[in-house]
Amino acid sequence: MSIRFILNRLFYTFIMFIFVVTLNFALFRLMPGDPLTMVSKEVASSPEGRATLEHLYGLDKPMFQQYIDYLKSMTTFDFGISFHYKQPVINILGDKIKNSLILGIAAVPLGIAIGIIGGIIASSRHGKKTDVIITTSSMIIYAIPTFWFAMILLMIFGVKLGWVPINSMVTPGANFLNNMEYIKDLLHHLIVPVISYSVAIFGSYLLIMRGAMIDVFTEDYVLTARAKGLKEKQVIMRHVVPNALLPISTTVIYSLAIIFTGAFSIEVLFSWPGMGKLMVESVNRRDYPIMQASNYLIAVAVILANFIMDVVYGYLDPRIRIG
Amino acid sequence: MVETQDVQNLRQREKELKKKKIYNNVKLFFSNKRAVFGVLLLGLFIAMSALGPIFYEYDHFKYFLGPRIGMPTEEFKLGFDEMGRDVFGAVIYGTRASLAIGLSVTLIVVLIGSTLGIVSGYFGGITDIIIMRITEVVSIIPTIPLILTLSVIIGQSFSNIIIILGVTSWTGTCKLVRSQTLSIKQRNYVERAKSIGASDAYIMVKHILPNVFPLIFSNIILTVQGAIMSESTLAFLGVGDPNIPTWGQLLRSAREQGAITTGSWWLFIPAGICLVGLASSFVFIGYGFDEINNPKLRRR
Repeated sequence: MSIRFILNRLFYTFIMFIFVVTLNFALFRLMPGDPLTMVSKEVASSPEGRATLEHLYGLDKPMFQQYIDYLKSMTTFDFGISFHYKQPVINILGDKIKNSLILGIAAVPLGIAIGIIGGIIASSRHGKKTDVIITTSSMIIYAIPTFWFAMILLMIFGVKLGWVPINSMVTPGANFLNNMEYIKDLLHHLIVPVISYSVAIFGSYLLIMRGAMIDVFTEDYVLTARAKGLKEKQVIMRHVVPNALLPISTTVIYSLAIIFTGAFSIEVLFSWPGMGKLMVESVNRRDYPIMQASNYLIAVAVILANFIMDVVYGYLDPRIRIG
Repeated sequence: MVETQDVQNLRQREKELKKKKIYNNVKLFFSNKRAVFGVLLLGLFIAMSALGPIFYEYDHFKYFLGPRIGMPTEEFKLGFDEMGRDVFGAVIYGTRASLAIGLSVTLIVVLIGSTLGIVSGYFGGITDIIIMRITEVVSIIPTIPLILTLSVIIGQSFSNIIIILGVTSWTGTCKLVRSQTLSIKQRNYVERAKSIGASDAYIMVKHILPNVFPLIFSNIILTVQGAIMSESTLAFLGVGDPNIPTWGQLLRSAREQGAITTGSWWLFIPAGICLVGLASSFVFIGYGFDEINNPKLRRR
C-alpha cells in the first residue's frame, strides 16, 4: 500500500470533515426560534439577563469568532449544556450511546450475517425454488417498515402470549440483587428489539450479496475453477464468496460505524433509552446543543469509517489504488 | 437533401430493430412472475387512490363519526380512531399521500441525480472531482439525523417533507448516472455528434440522457419505494404534516393510543399492510427491470 494513496485519502477526509462540521455550525445558526428563551424564559425576558446569557453562550461575539470557538469546543468534546436536561451534553450522550450499542451490537452483526449467508445460499441455487423463495421473501421483508414488524411481534409475543416485556430496557423500578439478575432482565428485554432490528437489516444485505455473487459467478476465473474439477462447494467458498464480499465489505464497515446512532424507530417504539430516541426527542424539544453534538459525533464516525473503507478497499482491491 | 434508398432502408431497419428490442424487453419483463405481480399490486393501489375517494361517502376528517377507538362495524369496516374518525377513509386517502410522496420525491431525485451525474461524467476533470466529493459527503451522512435537523429548520409541511426527502436521497442515482455516462460518452455516436459540431449541452440532452435513462430505470422505481418507506419512518418518529394523514402517521397514533396493548388491531394492521403492499410492488417491479438490464441476473 502506497503512502501516497493513504495521504491522498487523508487529505480528502480532512476536507470532508471541515465541510461537514461547518455545515453543522451553519445549520444551527438557521434554526428558528430564540434559543435563549429555551435556556431560561425568565432570565431571557430581561435585557440584563439576555446579555448575560448571550455572553455565556458566546453569542455576543462576531460570527467568525463563534465559528472558531465552535471548532474548539467540538474537537474537545465540550458540547455545552442541554436546554432540556440542564446538564452537560457529554454526560447525557455517554449513557445513551452505551444503550444504543447494547442493542446494535446484538442486532447488526446478526442481521448482516444472516443476509450474507442467505445471499450465498440463494445465489448458489440461482433460479431454483430455494432462490425464488429466499429472494421473494427478502424483497417483501425489505418493504416492511421495521417498526410495524416490531409492533406485530409485540402484539403477538408481548401482549397475546406475554412471553416478552413490551417496552424499556430493564424492568422499571426493579431492584437487582446481582449483576446476573440484571443481565437476565436486560436479555429478556432485548429479544424482540433485536429480532426486529436484525430482520430490518438482513433483507437489503441478502439482495446485495445475491447480486454480487451472481455477478462473480459469470467471471472467467470461476469457469477456470470449475474446469479444474473443483467441487461446486469449493468453487463457491474459495472463489466466489471472497470476491463477492469485496463490494459488500464497505457497506458492512459503514453499518458497524453507525451502530451507536441507534435504530430510530425501534428505540422510539420500545422506549429504548438510546441515541436514536434521544435525537428524536431533542428535535421535538428543540434541544439544539444535543442535536448539534449528536450530528457532530455521527459525522466524525462516518467520515472516519469512510477513510477506513477507502484504505481497506484499496488494500483488498489493488485496482482502486493504482487506477 | 434527398436521401438515397440505402439510407432510407437503414433507417427502416433501425426502427424495426428498436421496436423488436422494446418488444423483447416487455416480453422479458412480463415473463418475470414477481414483476407481473408487482404491476398488478401497484395497479390495485392506483385504482384505490383514484377511485376510492369517489366511492367513499363519508368525511374521513369528521370527528366522532363513531366512538373513540370504536370496533369495526358493518358500515365502518375498519373501525374508528382515537377521535372517532373513520379508519377506512384515512387508509384510502393515505394511498394518495404515499403515492404523491413517492413520485414527487423521485422526481426531485431524478432531476438532481441525473443532472449532476451526467455533468460530472461527461465533463470529467475538476468538475467531476468536485461533484463526486459533494456526492460522497451527502451519501455518507446518515439520512435520518440530517432529515430531523432539516425538518426543524424548514418546517414539516407536506411539501417540505418531500423537498427534504428529495435533497437527501439523490446520491445513489447520481453515482449510477455518472458511471453510465462514462461508458456512453465513449460510444461512436457521441464522437460523431461532437465531430459535426454539436454542443455539449445538446449531446448531454439528446444523446446521453435518453441512453442513460433505461439503465437507471430500476433505480428510479426503487427510489419511489425508498421515499415511501422513509416518509413512514419519519411520520412514525413524529415528523410529518398533520393535515395530510399518511399511513405512517396512522401507525404513530396507533402506537400512542396503546393499540398494541389494547389489541385494537384496526388502528395499525390495515395501514401497515397497505404500506407493505405498495412498497413491495415497487420492489418487485424495480428488481424486474434490473433483470432486463443485467442479463447475468436472469435464470440460467
